[in-house]
Order: sequence, then C-alpha cells, then structure tokens
Amino acid sequence: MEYLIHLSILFSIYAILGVSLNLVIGYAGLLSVTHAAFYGIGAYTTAIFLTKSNIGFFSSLILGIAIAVVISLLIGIILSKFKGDYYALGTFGFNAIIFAIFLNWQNMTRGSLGIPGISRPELFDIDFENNLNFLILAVILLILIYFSSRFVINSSFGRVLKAIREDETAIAVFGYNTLYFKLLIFIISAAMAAVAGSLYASYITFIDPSSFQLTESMFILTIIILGGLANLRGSILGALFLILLPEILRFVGFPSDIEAQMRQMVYGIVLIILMLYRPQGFIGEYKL
Amino acid sequence: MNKSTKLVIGALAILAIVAIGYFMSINTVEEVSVEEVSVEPIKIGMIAPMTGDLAFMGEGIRDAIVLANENTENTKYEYEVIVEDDQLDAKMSASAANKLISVDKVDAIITFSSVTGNVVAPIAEQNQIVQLGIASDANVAKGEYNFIHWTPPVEENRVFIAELQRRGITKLGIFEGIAPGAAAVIADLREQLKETDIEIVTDQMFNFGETDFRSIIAKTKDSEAETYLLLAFSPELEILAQQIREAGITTPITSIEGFELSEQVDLFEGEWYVNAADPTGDFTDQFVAKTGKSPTLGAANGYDIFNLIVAATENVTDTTKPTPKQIASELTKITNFSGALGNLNVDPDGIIVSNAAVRMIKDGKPVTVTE
Amino acid sequence: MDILPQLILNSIIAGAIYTLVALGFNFIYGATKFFNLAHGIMAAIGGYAVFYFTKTVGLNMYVAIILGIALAGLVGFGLDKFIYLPLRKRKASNMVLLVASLGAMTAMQALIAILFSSRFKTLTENVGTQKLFTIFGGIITQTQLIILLSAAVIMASLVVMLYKTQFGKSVRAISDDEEVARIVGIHTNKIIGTVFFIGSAITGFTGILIGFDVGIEPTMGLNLLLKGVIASIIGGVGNIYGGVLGAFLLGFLENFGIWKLSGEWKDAIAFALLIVFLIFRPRGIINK
Repeated sequence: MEYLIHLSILFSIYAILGVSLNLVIGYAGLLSVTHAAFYGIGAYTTAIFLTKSNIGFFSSLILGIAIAVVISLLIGIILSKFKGDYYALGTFGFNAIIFAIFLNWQNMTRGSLGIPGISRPELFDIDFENNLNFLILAVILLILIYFSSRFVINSSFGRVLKAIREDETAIAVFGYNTLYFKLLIFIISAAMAAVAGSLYASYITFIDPSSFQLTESMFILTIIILGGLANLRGSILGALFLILLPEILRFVGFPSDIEAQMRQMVYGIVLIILMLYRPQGFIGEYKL
Repeated sequence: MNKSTKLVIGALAILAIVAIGYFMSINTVEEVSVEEVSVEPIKIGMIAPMTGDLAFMGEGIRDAIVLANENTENTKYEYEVIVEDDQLDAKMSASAANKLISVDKVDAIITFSSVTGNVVAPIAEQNQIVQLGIASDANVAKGEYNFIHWTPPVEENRVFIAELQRRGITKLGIFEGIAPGAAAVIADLREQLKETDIEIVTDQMFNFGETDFRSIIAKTKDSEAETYLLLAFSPELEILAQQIREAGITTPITSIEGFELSEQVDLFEGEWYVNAADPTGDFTDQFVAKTGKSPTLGAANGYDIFNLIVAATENVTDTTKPTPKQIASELTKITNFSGALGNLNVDPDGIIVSNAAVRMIKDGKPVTVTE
Repeated sequence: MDILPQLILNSIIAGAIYTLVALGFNFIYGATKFFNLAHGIMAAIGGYAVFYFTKTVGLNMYVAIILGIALAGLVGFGLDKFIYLPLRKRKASNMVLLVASLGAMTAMQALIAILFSSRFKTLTENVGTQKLFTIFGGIITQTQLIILLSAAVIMASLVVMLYKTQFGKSVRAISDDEEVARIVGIHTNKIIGTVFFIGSAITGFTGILIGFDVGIEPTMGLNLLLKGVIASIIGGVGNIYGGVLGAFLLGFLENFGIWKLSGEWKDAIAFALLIVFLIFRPRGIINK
C-alpha cells in the first residue's frame, strides 16, 4: 500500500509537469526542452529555504514560483528570436546552463553533494510525514493546476495560442502581439513546473543536481508525446504510464543478472511500438 | 472519446490491474513457498545502478554480494538478496526503496552512492529498516538505522602523506575527477598538507566521463611534480594513465583507491598507492574466480556489508526472527571485524571504519608494502 | 613555448573525431531533417562488433573492422527501413520520430550492455605500447594519426560523392526539398535508406577508431552525438563543409579554453559556444 501511495505521489508530480509542458508544446507549438530547469528551480528554492531558514513549505512554494517566473521571463525573451528546431536547441542550452549553476554554485546548492534533510510541509497539525497526507496535498495541487490549465486553454487567450501554433505570421497580421502570448504561456508553464519541484523536494527530502538534467526534460517530453499533444487528459495518462511502466517491469521475471538491462530494452521497444502504431499519442489531437 | 482511445485506456487499466494482482500474489506466494524452514529468511535489498553509465559498478557490487551470500554457511537464518535498479536517479531510488520495504518486506537495504543513500536513509529510518550505504557522505549514516561503509578520507590521506614523506617527496601534482568522493579527499588532503612541507604544484580537474586528457596533461609538462596523484576510477583512470605515458611523462603516478580495481593493472606496475584492503587479497581472488573480472569500486564494500549484516543478525539471541532494530543495534557493537577492506570497526555514528595501507602493484598483483 | 604545438595537435585530433561524427550526422540530417537520437549508438555498435570479432571469434583485425563498419551501416539502414520510414509514410511529426529514436537508442544500448556488460573495454591488445610520432614538437599516437587521415579521406569521399555522382545529386535534391525530389522521379525512400547506411557506417568506423584510441562502453554514443551535433550547428547544419569547420572550431576552443581555464569547464565551453551561435548566427558559420 505504501508503495502505491509513493507511486501516486510521483505520478501527481509528473502529471503536473506533463500538463504544464503541454501548454507550451502542445498548445503554443513551442518545442521547449528546458522544463527540468524550472522543476529544479522550484525544488532548490524549497530545499534551500526549508533547510536554511524558518520559512515554511507554502511560502517557499510561492518564492519558487516567483523565481521561476523571473528566469522564464528572461529566457523567454532571449528565445523569442529563435524558430523551430533552433528554439529547441536554445532551450536545451539553457537547461544545460541552469544545471551547471545547480552543480557549481556550491555556496547555495552544495553542488553535487545535494541538499539533504528537507522537511515536510507544516499546516495546522497535519502530519505530512504520513505519505497519505502528502499524497492528498499533491493531488489537490494537481487538480488546481489541471483546472487552471483547462481554463487558460478554453479562454480566448488559449485560442490565440492555438492560432499561433498553426500559423504565427497569419495571426500577427491581425495585430496580435505574438511575442506577448508566447512569453506568457512560457512563464505560466514554468511557474507550474516550480510547484512540482517544491513538492518533489519536500517529499524525497533530498535533492541533487542530477535530477534536473536534460534527461529529465526528455522524460517529461516523452510523457506528453505519449499522452498526446494538446490534450491535458492525455498528459495525465502519459504520466501514469511512464511512472508505472518501469515499476511494473520490476515484477516481470527476467533472469536476474540481466534483469535491469532487459527492462530498459522493453521500455525502449514499447516507446518505438507506441510511436509506430499511435504516433498521435493516447488521446492526441494535434500533430506538428 | 473515440473507440481507439477507449481501447488504449482499457489496455492501460488492464495492465495496471495485472500489475497490482501480480505483486499482491507475489507476497502470498513467498510465504507459501518457504519450505520446511520454520524461520523466515532475512531479506536484504540492494539498490544500485544496474543500467546506464554506472551499470558496471552496480553489477560489480551485486556480484560481490552474491559471492558473500554463497560463502555464507552454517548460519541460524537464511539470507536472501533482492536487487533493484535505480539508474542512480533519485526518484527511482525512492521507488525501489518503497517497493523493497512494502512489497518485499526487506529487513535491510544496501545502497550505493551518496545520492541514493541520502534518498533512502530517511525512508529507512521512518520504516525502521536498516540501511547500509556504500557512500562517502556521512549524512547517509544519520539515524539509528543508517550506516556507511567507506574508508574515511582522513585516514587515507594520513597514510598517503606519511608515505610521501617517507619517500622524500615535496612536490605533488594532482589530477582529480569531479565527484563528491574526490572533492572530500582533496579538501582534507589540503588541510593535512598544511602541516607539512609538501607543495601541490599543479591541480588539474576534469569531468566524469571525459576521455581526452591530453591538453590538461600538456599543461603539467613543465611542472616540477615528483609524483602525480590520480584521483579517478575506471575508466577515466586507465585512459588518463595511458595518455600520461603517451605524452612522454615518466614521472611516477600514485592513487588513492584506484589502481587495484583496474582491469589493466600492468599500467600501474611498480607504482605505490593507498588503499583500504584485506592484505590476503582473498576477496579479489574469489571475485575474479567467480566473475572473470576484477572488482569494481564499491564491490569490496558490498561484500563486507553483507557479511556484517549476517554477523550482526547471528548475534541476536532469544528470538525466532531478529528485527531490524536488533540488527542495527548489533551492528554498532561490531569491532575488529575481518573484511575485504581490512580490519573494520563500527563507530557510534554508524560509520564503518576501515584502515588504509600503502600497497603496490608487483607482477600484476597488489601487495601490501609493510611499514 | 613547449605546450603550444601539443595543444594544436590535440585540437586537431579532437576536431578530427568530431568531424567524423558530424559528417555522419549531417549527411543523414540533410536528407531526413529530424534529430536522430539513435545515431550515436552506431559508434558503439561498430566498436563492440570489432571487439566481438577479434576477441571472441578470433578474426583478423582488418576483417573485423570491415565487418564492424558494415554491421553499423546495416543497423542504421534497418532502423530507417523498419521504424523511421513507416513513420515518415504516416507523416509523423519530428517529435514522434525523436521519441521513436529515443526508444531505439535505449533498447540498443541495453542490448549491448546485456551482451557485453557495461564495463569499459579497449580494442588494443597491449595497453600503452602504441607507436608514437613527434610532429613539430607535439606527440601523437599511431591511432590518432589514423583518425586524422580517416577524417580527411572520408570528408573528401563524401564531397566527391555528393557533387560528382548521380547518387549524390539525388541526395542533395532530397535535402533541398523531399517532395519535389519525389515528384521529379527520384526514389527518395531507397536513397534515404542508403544515406542511413553510409552515415551509420561512418559513425561505426568512428566508434572503432575511438575504441583503439581510448576504449568502448555501451553509453559512448550519446556524448559523441552531442558533440557532433554542436559541431554541425555551429558550422552550419546539413552542410558537409560546415560540419568540418564547426568540428575543428569546437576542438580548438575546447582545448585552448581549458589551457586558460580549468579542465572541468570543457563541456561548459561547448554549450556556451552552442548558445552564442544560436543567438547570433543560428544558421552556422556557413550560411546556406
């Protein structure tokens, strides 16, 4: 049971990450591979404040969002000049730079040693050491973020985003400031990722830079491609699948000395098959 | 929702149900299939990277632990090892630990690396399961249930500096690979060197995974180092040593804990170094006999940890099955234990202390150079 | 100063290796325009094939090398025929291809680890007994010399092929515009298949050379690919000369950079270079 609760918490965190990235990639059409950086910013903010000061979890959450907003604003402005594949490469470069900061700004982040001893949230008298309570918190945040995203997508703001995705020049001709829209959704998505990061830091109680590298951004990208671009429910399904699959594979009886490698092989083959037979993802509505 | 979507969701749901059913059944099956033994086996979980860049280290540790299990005989209890991969990824370490604790109901977990150790330690403490980490970060040993087994840098440097002084070396060059373990060793080395007249004339750093050291080697050509300390492990260690020789540098090389673990020991023939190890070389011989390869970093530690758990568990009396709390308690009482890393003592902070010694590769084999 | 010739030599060697990877990558990217994550694996396949044929089967080294190159080429060809081509036929987006290539890379890397274990291996029999040559005060090993020559020969061959043969003309036509090429009557799928074979074979050969120079491990492909991609981008993606230029620029900047800074900044230099180019000259040095 504990195991399932743990997996559910991880699932909630990654569902938040998937939904938020889908806003940028699926709806606005911007291929961003730097999501892990904002995830990390939220995580490190919470970690540093919870271990070095009296500030509590929820305040650190807000602070994490604030920092993510500022940084995403800066990055978003620089990236606005890039198009298509170059945009992706630019975000990839930024992920690398922010990772390097996590790794080398030893005074703040303790570098590769990581930050241990992060406490769980404190709210009234709820014992968040009990994972079930933490799960409820995570799910509540997931629901909030999911419905906020739905709201954004279904608003006129969302419609403009989709128009930008389809044909940016056309919509610009109509007088829409496309830069503003792209920037705004990038910032919103970064803020949500930071929330996931804060949750992660407090749950695992230890973070280190290795959790926020490019591979993590690729993992989140895979979640939304599997789930289906431009479909929020799909992202949730995608997160469920990608968190559960490696765990399910733990129970399949492979011969023990090559067990782990066999699981990796199965994982890779599953990805290939899914792309071959369902390239639009589980419930995709949009193909680039 | 269209038909195919329903299909996919259905498939997922079925997968999930099958998975839940499977591991629920594993629990019951295990209890039934334990034969006439009236006592449940002691289950020891192991979390290490079994895939990815460091898979060879995880494999080495697993082989060492399996070897230790095979060598264990005439014990009161049965010992069972369950291996889980974490790819050195924090979230997977947490999942592996949760699975081992709630599904497999392990009594102890062996972890590898400071990252994994730091993630699993609080989980172990909360669930009252023993955790022994092959890690250098003392934080991993925090708590009643947590221990680490790694030769402390202080000890290794003490022996290292003594040997430098014995050989009259005053100028030292360093090549260090960036990793938490190395950083701790160098920081302590600099501290201890302040008391001596030994000078660090050059300190070249490189990243984990580097294969081209030629330019940083070129930078040291004019240094006056009398010996070079290579703080690295396979594969960087061998490539670095080879490229140093290819560059025409004949200065002696030394290491802390690196040479013995290499498959290409000829590179280090005649060179002395500092290591924590059992002088009889017993573990290494057995490991090579079993796997055909030399032990990797941490393998000897894994071997010792398994044996320590067995020793501690066997010491528990008056019970049909020792609890982790009792095992942890017995562990702290262990002194003068003979392990692959030499003579071991467990200190009250949960740190398993081993002694370092000066060794040398002679005719392709490590031998201890007695003081 | 003594160090300068050596640094220059080192830069050239590094540049040659990156050139080889960039050549293979650029060649394929030009024709297919998607980011094939599995490209790096071909290096591992080539290296491990030679390892297997020489050490386990006991074949002559030269025969083993030819087999290794052929095998790498075949695997690349197979990937295209069974995965990428069907996806292209279904008009799958580049991101779907990316995820599929991620799956392929993961699966193949795991397979190699299962077959050969994850340990680092060298292809040479005797360690440290390579022939050394001194050129203008810098030392170079025999293998490294071969790497330099190979890079030159392969680049020349590719250029000749692209500009002097019918096949090459078709490849260039496809690079310009695949649909038009098809309309004009070029068998695009067959040509792309051959392109994959050649590009993968080149990378396989690179892996073999690296195996002789330093050694092989299952995960060697990804880092190589990254450097090759950076070289291609700064030189000009899809352009043969661009890849070479970018590769040598990268090699020089890395080696001279760590002369002045510390060795740990090597990768950071590569990324910084990437970002600078993305911001100021995204089409690379050689603008098409």
